[in-house]
Amino acid sequence: MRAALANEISKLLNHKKYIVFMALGVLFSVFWSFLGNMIVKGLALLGGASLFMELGFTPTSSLPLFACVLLPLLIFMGCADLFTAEFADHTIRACLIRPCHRVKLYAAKALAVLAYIAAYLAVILAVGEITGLISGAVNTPGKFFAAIGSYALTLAPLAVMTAFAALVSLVLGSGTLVMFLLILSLLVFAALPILLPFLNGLLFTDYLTWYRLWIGAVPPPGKMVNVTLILIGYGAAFTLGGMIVFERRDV
Amino acid sequence: MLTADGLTKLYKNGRGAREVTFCVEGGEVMGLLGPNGSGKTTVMKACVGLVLPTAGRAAIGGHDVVTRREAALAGVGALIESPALFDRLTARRNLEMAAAYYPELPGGRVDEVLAIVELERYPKDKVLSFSLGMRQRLGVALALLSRPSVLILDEPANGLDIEGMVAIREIVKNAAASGAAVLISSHLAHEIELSATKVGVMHDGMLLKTATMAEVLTVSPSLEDYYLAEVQNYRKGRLSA
Repeated sequence: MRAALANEISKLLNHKKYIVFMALGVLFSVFWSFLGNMIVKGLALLGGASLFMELGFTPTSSLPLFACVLLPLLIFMGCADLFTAEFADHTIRACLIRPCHRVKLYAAKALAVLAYIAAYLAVILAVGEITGLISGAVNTPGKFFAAIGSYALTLAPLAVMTAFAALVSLVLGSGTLVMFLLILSLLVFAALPILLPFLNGLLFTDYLTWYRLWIGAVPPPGKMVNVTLILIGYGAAFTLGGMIVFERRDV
Repeated sequence: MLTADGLTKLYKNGRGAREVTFCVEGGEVMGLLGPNGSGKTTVMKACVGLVLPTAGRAAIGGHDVVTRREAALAGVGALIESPALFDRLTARRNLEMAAAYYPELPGGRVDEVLAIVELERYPKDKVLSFSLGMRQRLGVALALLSRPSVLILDEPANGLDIEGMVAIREIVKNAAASGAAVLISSHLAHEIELSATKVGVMHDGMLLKTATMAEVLTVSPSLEDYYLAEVQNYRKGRLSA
């Protein structure tokens, strides 16, 4: 399993686009923290920036953009590369003929994508915090640990997203089609609760920013348990589905 | 030892392999001979678990390939259809990634197999730049990497020049001499005749006949004649039925 995971991470990072996207994330983080704080300071000098001061240009305030847009796209790309593309060009045989159970290989591929996402989050958080310090943003230990907590908690819904993307990637035969359908599904899932209000809170994509439930004002424990169970339920269903398809698929 | 017992794999289009039964012992080279589409590759895929059998079973060293996958594949080296290579990676990296699944392999094994297939001058070249023959050689190197006790090579001579074909024959013979059970396939009777100790004639997804090469050459002047006679008998049998 360890060999499979190391191989999958190595294959993923061999695609330069993942390094480029991480570099773009770092640049955005620097821009957000540094220039944002400069703007706030400038407005403060003019005496009219209390709202901006309150919101702040912290790493936590940029997290929704990463969690709802960029990281899901990277997850889709990762799954399309490690599942769909390898089945399409038959390179999947390179690991399927090795003495490793198919379930472990599936897990290694999904975990490789998730490991990249975790590394991505860690890097942009670190860069954001360091840039904030350099640019003289007001930070307290409380805010700092809340930021770490927010970034760590964001991994949970993204893990569910990875299981979902892996399942779709395994069912379809073309990487382009996988990307198109996954992006479309993300848009549909975002629009569904607006069109059908009874679905509000029932889709896993509603909780990409669930860290907000845990950080700051704490909601009733019942709600948090409900949300946690919804995420676990979706995650288990997608993972099980993916494992079954991966296990039974002919190459 | 590699065994197939009533091995059947039928695809949605009705093609595949039906009730194939054979056994390859250590030291034997069994050649599957048949035209394209006769089911040779399907049988080999089922033997390494790349496809799930519709019925029957394949076992390696007594371990069922489906239910005891890890144990069964621990001693197998295989090249099925075209080599599964990552074009963006170097020849060495492709081998190192495969070697990671065998922690007991000595460090120098990658260089050893590169030398066996005469690719030792290109370890740092990306596979993308390789010719068809070099890719095939690297595919064979990947199959040999784990010092397999069962070696499965599907049309290993594909894309190889004369020297390459001779080298593959030597590799197959050496593997068998060191005690490995070897299963190779080809649609070229001459290739099988030069490498195999035992032959299986495949046609229409069925294994029509299995015989040792000595038996084949006793009843026919060549494997080609033997094959043609067996296929003709099969067709006559179908017509009369």
